Amino acid sequence: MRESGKPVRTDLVAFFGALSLFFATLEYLFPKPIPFFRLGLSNLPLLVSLGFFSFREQLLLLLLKVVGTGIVNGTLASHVFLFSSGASLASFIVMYGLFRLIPARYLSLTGISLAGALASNAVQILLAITLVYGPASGVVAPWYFGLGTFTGLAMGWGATQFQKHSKWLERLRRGS
Amino acid sequence: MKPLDWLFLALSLFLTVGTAWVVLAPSDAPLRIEVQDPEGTFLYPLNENRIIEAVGPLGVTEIHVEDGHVWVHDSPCTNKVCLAMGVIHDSGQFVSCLPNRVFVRISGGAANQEGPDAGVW
Repeated sequence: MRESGKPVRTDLVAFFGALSLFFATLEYLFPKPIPFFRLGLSNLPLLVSLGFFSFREQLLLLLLKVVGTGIVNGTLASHVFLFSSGASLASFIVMYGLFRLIPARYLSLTGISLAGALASNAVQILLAITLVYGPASGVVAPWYFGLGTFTGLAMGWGATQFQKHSKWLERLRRGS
Repeated sequence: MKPLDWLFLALSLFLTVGTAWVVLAPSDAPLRIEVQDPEGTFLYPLNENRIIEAVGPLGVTEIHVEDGHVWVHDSPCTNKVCLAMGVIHDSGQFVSCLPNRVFVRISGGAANQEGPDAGVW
């Protein structure tokens, strides 16, 4: 797989994919306040790698994350997978687009994370209303947006701190 | 935090407050239970004790109504989040089982009618 003559670093993408799966499994440690709500820990590798993965590498990482968590959670063949993949894709498009289009002096990873959480939650609510439950499920919207604000801030802060202080990430950046 | 970070934070908070405003708006309709499953939406009064069986793709989700309180007693889903959500009794509250496609909420009436009308200090 190539993009502009540059090979896709499958080993590195696979490593970040494995990190995503690890974080998705860690989420089981936390009680869920509302059904199908996720903290978004598995988005951390996606956020952190925005700076040095190409679009195709990011897309491959997203695929690994979505399919991998579907297998780990046992939801790959159910409608829950629709929620997960729809939300992840929307969040990725928003985060990647903002990262590429808006200069870093105006927008940090915290804002990108907040926007990603917003897109993810909006898509899940829309899917719940239109495809799974019907209009009554709109009642989850305030919970989703409220908790999403909190987790989006937390994930953005975590990703920013990791980007600032990780020597490992710095070495990866220099090598790319 | 940078300028557009604040913008997205404000947008998130606006959507939280805005959707809460719409969803929790008081209604003149009597308090009732709305049970949504793949078959459709079923309405029950909140003040009558009963056991409701909602049929989803995994099987039967058993919902208990007792003395104005509603809870999922049993469900065939694997993660049992709906059971962990506990008891609901007020307008706007909900319990749902995503894997079995069952959604239960209390609607109608003004939210938290048992609360005080006013407070003074």
